[in-house]
Amino acid sequence: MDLEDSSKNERDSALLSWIQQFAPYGVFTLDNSLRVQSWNRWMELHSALTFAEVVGRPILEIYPDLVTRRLHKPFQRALDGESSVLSTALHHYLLPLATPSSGKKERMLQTARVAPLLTGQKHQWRRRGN
Amino acid sequence: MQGEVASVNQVFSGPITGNAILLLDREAALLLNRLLTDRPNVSGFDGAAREVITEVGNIILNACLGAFGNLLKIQVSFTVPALQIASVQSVLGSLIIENQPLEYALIIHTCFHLRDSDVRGYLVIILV
Repeated sequence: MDLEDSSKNERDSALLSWIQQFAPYGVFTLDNSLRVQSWNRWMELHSALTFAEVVGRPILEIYPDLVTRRLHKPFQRALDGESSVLSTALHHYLLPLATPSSGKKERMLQTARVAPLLTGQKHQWRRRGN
Repeated sequence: MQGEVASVNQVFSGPITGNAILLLDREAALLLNRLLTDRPNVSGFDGAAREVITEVGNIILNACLGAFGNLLKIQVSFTVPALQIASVQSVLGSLIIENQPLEYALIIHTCFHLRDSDVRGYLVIILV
């Protein structure tokens, strides 16, 4: 590895760390069994679930509402390399998160992206939205 | 197609690489949005309309590219879709894929029948 590669790797690592700590939107990654692998600080704040509470758990078990609303499909399609966008107007939200100002009754409106996270030949998923 | 169009495009890559585009003229795109969202008074491309058109385009493009992939027995991966509101010439002129010249295009005139209304548009698949 030359210096340029090393510098790029450090930058990539710092960027991931920034997303994890400071991104003003939710980002989480799942493995190919849809189990949570990462859960950024935004997700912890707005879901009221810490990373330790969700790591390794299937996202469809944490939010069974996803299956009821057929929103598990984009995650499955990501396994085949597809990227999906989910609009607020058609779905209102991906995950049932509470709106900070109104407590648990009102869901936070979200626009979401579900896309494959390619690590070599393996597929994982990433979702972002707010 | 004349005037402003709404284009949703996704780059795909794998054994074949290219760009898939859904082109709808302004009226068709706004009609599609009104039919799906029950917002009869929307007459322009506001943020919500843009999102809806992008999502519908994404679904159609994924379905078509997935079907082509199955037919050809190959797996392609897709980028997140991008929406552009511009003239057809401007949309086609902006297409650059991996700095390679565009060679072949498959153009399909398509019609969606939704709630007793027809929304017509073009599906364009460009290979490099």
